[in-house]
Amino acid sequence: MEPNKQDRIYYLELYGHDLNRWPVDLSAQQKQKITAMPEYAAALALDEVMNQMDWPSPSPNLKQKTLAQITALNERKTRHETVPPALFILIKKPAFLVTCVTAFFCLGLLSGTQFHVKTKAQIDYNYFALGSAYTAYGVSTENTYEE
Amino acid sequence: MTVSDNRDDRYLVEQIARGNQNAFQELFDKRAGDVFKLSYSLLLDHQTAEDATQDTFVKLWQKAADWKPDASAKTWLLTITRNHCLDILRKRKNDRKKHQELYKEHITTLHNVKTNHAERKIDEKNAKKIIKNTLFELPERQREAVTLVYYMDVHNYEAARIMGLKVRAFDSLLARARRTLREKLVDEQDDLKGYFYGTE
Repeated sequence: MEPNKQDRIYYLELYGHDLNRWPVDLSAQQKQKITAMPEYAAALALDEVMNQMDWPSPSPNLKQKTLAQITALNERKTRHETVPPALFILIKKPAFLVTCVTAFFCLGLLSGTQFHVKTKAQIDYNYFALGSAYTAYGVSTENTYEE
Repeated sequence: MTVSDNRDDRYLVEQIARGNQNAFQELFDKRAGDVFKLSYSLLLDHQTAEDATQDTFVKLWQKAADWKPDASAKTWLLTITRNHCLDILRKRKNDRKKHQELYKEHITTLHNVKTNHAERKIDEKNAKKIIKNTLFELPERQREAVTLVYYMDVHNYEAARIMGLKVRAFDSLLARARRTLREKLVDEQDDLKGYFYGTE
C-alpha cells in the first residue's frame, strides 16, 4: 500500500532519510516524491549531523586484556577438569554422594555393634572380677589394695 | 546489518561455543566497537565502559553455548551489554557519591563547550562536541534508542527487542528522541541551523 503524506512524514521522523530502512517497498516514483519533501531535507540534515558524531574509542590494549582474562578462565577450567577436588565430585555425582553417606552410616552401625559387644564382655568380666570381692559376709579384702 | 553479517556472526558464536579462540578474536574485532559505544552511551564514563566491554565479551565466552539462534548474534551480544550496563547503573545509584561526581563532571564539560562556543565561531571539532553533548543530554532511554539505530545499524524491531520493548513503543521513543535532538541542535547552536536550513 502506498504511504500517504502523513505516513511519509511519520516514516521520515522514524527511519530518517535512508529509504532502504523503511518498512515499506517504494517505487521509483514514490521515492522521487519523498525526496522532494521539505521534511526529507530536514531528516537528511539531522542524519548528516548525527553521522559526524565523534565517538570515543576503547584503548588499544582492551583486546589483550580480554584475551588474557579468557586464557586465565580456560586454565582454571582445565585445572578443575583434570584434578577435581573431592567436594566437586560429590556435588557433581549425587549417586556417589548417597553411596558415601550410606557407607558411612553402615560403618557406624557396625562399629557401634562391635563396641557394644566388647563393652558388654568387659562388664561381665568386671562383674566376675568384683564377684570375688563381694561375699556373703561383706566386702572381701582379698582384692583391695593395702599399704 | 546484512544477512551475510548475521550468518558470519552466527558461525563465529558457534565456534566460540566450541572453545575456538580465533573465532572469539574475530568477533571481538568486529563487534567490540559497538559494544563499547552502547556501554559508553549508557554509562557516560570511558573506563567503566571499557570494563563493561571486557565483561560482556567474557560473558559471551562463557555463555556462547547458551545462545539460541532465534535472535541474531549481534542482538544477543547487545542485549548482554545492555543488561550488564543496567546492573552497573543500578549499583552506581546505590553509590550516590560516585554518581553525583560523574554527573557533575559531565555537566561541567557540557557547560565549557557552550561557553567556548559563545566566544568564538563554531568549528568542525566544536560541532562534533556539540553533537556529542546533545546526544548525551538526552534521557537515558532515548539516548540508548538513538545509539542503537544510528551508530550500530540495528533495525527498529531488533533495537526494540534489545531494549525489551514492543516495536510500537520503541518507534515512538525514537521519534521523540529525533525530535528532541533536532530542537536542541537548532536551539543551542545557531550555526548548526545551516545544516538544517541550508544557510551558512
